[in-house]
Amino acid sequence: MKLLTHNMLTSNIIKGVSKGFPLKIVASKVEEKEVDFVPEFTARMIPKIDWPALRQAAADLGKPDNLPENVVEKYEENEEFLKKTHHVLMELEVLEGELICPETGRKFPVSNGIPNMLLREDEV
Amino acid sequence: MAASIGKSCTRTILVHFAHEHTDFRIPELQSILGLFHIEATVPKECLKEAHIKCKESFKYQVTSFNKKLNKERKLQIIEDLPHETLAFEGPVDLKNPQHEYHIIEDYGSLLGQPTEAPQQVYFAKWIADGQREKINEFHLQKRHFIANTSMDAGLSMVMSNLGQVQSGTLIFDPFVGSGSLLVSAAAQGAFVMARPSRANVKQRSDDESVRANLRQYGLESHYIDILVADSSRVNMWREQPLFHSIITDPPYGIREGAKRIEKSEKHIAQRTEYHLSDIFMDLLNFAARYLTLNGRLEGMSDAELHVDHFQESTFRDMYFKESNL
Ligand SMILES: C[S@@+](CC[C@H](N)C(=O)[O-])C[C@H]1O[C@@H](n2cnc3c(N)ncnc32)[C@H](O)[C@@H]1O
Repeated sequence: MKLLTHNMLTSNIIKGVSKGFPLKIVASKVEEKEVDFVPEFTARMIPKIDWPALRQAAADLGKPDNLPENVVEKYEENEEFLKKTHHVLMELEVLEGELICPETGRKFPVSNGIPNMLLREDEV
Repeated sequence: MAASIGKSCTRTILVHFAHEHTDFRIPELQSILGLFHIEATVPKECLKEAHIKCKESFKYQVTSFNKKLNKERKLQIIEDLPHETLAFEGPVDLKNPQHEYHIIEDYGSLLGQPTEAPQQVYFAKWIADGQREKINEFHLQKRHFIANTSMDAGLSMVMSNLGQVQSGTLIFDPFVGSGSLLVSAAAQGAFVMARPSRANVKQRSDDESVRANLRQYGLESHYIDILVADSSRVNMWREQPLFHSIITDPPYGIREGAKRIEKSEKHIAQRTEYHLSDIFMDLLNFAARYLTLNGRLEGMSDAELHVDHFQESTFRDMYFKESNL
């Protein structure tokens, strides 16, 4: 699971949960993998990102994110900023671990890099 | 077989299609034109005047639709051209011409007998070939991991085009299976996310995955993630315009039964039937929440595709038999 995905994901599917974001990451296996940098894609994703949650997620993985506190102005033209963001969004992957609902503490397993968001029938 | 699109009266382009998926032709063409913000009308009339004077080298090429023409006949057609009127000033070069002029004879619908004389004759300058060879490049026969409902390469590309998939955008397939639709979307430069059903993930080993399929074509960088989730839960993401297109081939009737999780009396996870109407409702709700402005939801249903799926599954039976899978 990439941090881009994590930044979009909520646990709102659980009955009674209203915000369900951000899910806390407890990772037992993390991988860094090089991914081709496509600046226009990164720039397109930035307005959709919850920035504090992204920085917190990188911290949860024990990775220094080198990201500024806020999204910089004119980020579309700032290649250095886009590259750093690309690295955090696309190149850090949680292979094994858990995602924890901030409201109920419900744990969703991540195994083989794939989060499992299925619920038990008493939760829906 | 052909449609001509014209922009005002300055330029007319003849598009010669393969005779397949005829219903998608005009919508696909219009989607692509829309993608590049080209305004064009697609008239039913064929073009009338299409000849250009030119001093560079050229050759004539005769092609026909719904009838094979032998060499002699083709030569005859070229000889019979009104050469004085055309009056090309450049030299003929059969090997490496700078320009090719095509005479295309249309002998009627593929389903019927060829007509005696051509119903239409087109004369046009060649501009570019289509990308039909991509169907071979991405053919399922050479695909690393296929499932019994994998979408064939040609239709996957048609769906990407209909969904106006563009480079550098984020695409989602909520019923991913082996990921054929995502392979074609990634080949267009898009980044892809998906939701498989649980069964799909558990049965497959590491290298039998959507990711491995993208890797096969050097497209792994375009893989974002897949998540195991129930597609009837539409509120899994933060609510905002997120996906530029949602392209999908939902499970239905004859091809594959759909399942979802619901409450039951016995307190065990219950997989119930997931009806087509509910699938479409969930898809529409999902799209309303997460599609970007002007984004497209593209779904396949088998009502339109009866013949193709029949052919596809026949092919698949053969494939599995031959490879002893
Ligand atoms: C028609 S197939 C799609 C095939 C895919 N286009 C391909 O090329 O492999 C439908 C897929 O939906 C999956 N599916 C069925 N019910 C589902 C559900 N409730 N949520 C998510 N996926 C589901 C099936 O396992 C199947 O892989």
